[in-house]
Amino acid sequence: MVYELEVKDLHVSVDGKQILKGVNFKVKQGEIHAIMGPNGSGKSTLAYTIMGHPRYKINNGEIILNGESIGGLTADKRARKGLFLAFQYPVTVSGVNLTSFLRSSYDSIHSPNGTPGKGGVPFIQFKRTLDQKLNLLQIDPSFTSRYLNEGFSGGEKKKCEILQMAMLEPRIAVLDETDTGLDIDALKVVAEGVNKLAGPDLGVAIITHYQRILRYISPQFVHVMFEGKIVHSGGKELADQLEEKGYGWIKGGA
Amino acid sequence: MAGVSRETVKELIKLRSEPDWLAEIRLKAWETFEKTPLEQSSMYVRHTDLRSVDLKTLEALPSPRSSNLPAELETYIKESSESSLHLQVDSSLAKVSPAAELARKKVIFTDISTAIKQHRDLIEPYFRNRAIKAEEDKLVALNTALFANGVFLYVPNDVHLEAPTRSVKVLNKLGVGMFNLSIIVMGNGSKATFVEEGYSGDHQTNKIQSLQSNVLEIHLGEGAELNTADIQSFSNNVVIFTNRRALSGRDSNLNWVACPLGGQFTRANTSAILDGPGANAQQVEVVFGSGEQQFDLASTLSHIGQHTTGDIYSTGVFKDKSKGMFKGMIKIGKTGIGSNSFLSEHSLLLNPQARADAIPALEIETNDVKCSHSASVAQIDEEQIFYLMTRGLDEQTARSVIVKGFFESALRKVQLPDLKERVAGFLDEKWERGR
Ligand SMILES: Nc1ncnc2c1ncn2[C@@H]1O[C@H](COP(=O)(O)OP(=O)(O)OP(=O)(O)O)[C@@H](O)[C@H]1O
Ligand SMILES: [Mg+2]
Repeated sequence: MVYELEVKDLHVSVDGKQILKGVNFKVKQGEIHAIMGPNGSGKSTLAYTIMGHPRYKINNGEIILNGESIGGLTADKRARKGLFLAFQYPVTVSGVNLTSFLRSSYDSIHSPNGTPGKGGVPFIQFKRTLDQKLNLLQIDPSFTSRYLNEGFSGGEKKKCEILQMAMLEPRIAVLDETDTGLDIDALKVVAEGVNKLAGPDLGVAIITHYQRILRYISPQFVHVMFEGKIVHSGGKELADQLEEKGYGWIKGGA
Repeated sequence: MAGVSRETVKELIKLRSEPDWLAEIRLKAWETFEKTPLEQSSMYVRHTDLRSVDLKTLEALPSPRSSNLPAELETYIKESSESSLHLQVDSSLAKVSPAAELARKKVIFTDISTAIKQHRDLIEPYFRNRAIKAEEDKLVALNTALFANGVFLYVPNDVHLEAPTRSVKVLNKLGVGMFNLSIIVMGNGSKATFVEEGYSGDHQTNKIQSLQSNVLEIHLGEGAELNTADIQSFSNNVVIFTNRRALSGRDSNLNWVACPLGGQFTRANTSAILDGPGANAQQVEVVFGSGEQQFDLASTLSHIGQHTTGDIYSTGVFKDKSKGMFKGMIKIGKTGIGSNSFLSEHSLLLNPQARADAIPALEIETNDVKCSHSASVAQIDEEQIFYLMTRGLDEQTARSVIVKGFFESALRKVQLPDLKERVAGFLDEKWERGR
């Protein structure tokens, strides 16, 4: 079965303020989408809402994963159904060892009964997978003995998000500005990482407002968000147009 | 004989056949106790000050028959032939077992009464000139009058002890007054570890209160190094008053860890007097309150010598209706030139009714010092919970991961890996137990 995430006429408000005003969007396993748009257009709001942030209220519309409406599920349940969000601003959790965090996270996603902490995947198997992914993403193993995002540089935080994605093996991943704050070398490493993970089993929606990551990751679909709506959708050429003309020309609407 | 009075003091002196010099000190301390007013603290409300402990019924004298160790505690105490153990149940000494290396190295590790009898020359000066004076604190006066147990640890110059020395206190009966005084003397260049542990038999729900009064005095010679910890998980009908003070000699090193988990009310005053130039002290305090527990914790670093260094890391997690107060104080005297001091007090509240206060104080009388502090009291961050949940952890697990991480932030300062693991184990256990 090919997984499909569908966002249908999504209206979302946060703290009483209407932000998404009817978003329609679809992503399947194996596809790469880019969602672009100016600051404040609602890209992160869409990402948070897809993942189930409790502050983002769905006033209208639906989020559907393989025909099932998941708008009422908590974030952990969505994660277990194969959704992943790489945060624009990854959160620091002091004193939480990255390896043991990855272990409980891995367990809660991959252990057959889905009960975190109990039973779960044998440590050896977990460790083998972790070493594999570290190698794939060219991350130094000593990285995982640090605390979760504590004292990480911007680039390290983004790498850590990609490492988590690699470990959890989601079916649909939303990457919220995973490219911002990276220098060109870090950007290449992260982009290569995404390319290595992408494939027939993973559907990706890359949120970005820069063109440059799209030189390394080639999307089949490009969407432009403006004032809480997707106002244009097209192929890769749309991204080139945006590069040339900026967002100004969109403002007239679709 | 039940109750605490001047007669009790006399009885104790007779029971232990104590020398006149000590009898005099005890009776004088009793007078001081009687005439000193109760300390004022915003936390000392009904049920938590000394008035809530019934001095008329408290059983403070060691009973002739030593009580047995409750079976459920044996697993905790994990006796090992390598470490030295001082074990007491209620006010009676159960046993003192020094490790083999002690005799070889001429280290004294014994209970305080035996030390008074057998090592008078060594111990008397520390009674004549106490590190903490009875006049300073009503509860220290009471302790001086009534201490029936405690450890005397004497480590000669340049002796290094490999294994830890332990003082284990068990409250088994109800309505006990347990008064302990421990004195540690570390010779120049010596090195040791001293761990105090407190446990209760299973009477969580009983309302009859016990009082645990604990005084610890530490004398560090030049270049001496001591790691010390106090971990207690008494049941919640125990009121605990603790005073600890270290007098630190030149270039000495002190690491202490306090982990109060049990008790209805805990008041602990900890201070390091960094007298000798280059002396260093680190205090790590990790508190986890639940139910209606209250903790009133004061930590002081007093920089008197030049180039002395010190850190206080106080960390608290408070759930239910528990309350905590961290009173951190850094004093740098006129002579403390070039000192470097840091104070941090951070608390996490898990329920709307839990409370914590951080009251940092800096008293600096000289320039050319480094001194800083940070303090916070916060709820668990919802963004952290969401972040962890997006990684598959359910909400409860996410909270637990955040709290354990918060503890870890303090525990990583604990220098001895074994000790760190021990304390982490106690915290975990209380977390799992849920109260
Ligand atoms: N808690 C909130 N209360 C009020 N307004 C909010 C809140 N959170 C976000 N907004 C507003 O919602 C709008 C969309 O924000 P969002 O973060 O989704 O934009 P974005 O497209 O991701 O922007 P950027 O490119 O800067 O990341 C912005 O105008 C923002 O100020
Ligand atoms: Mg954004």
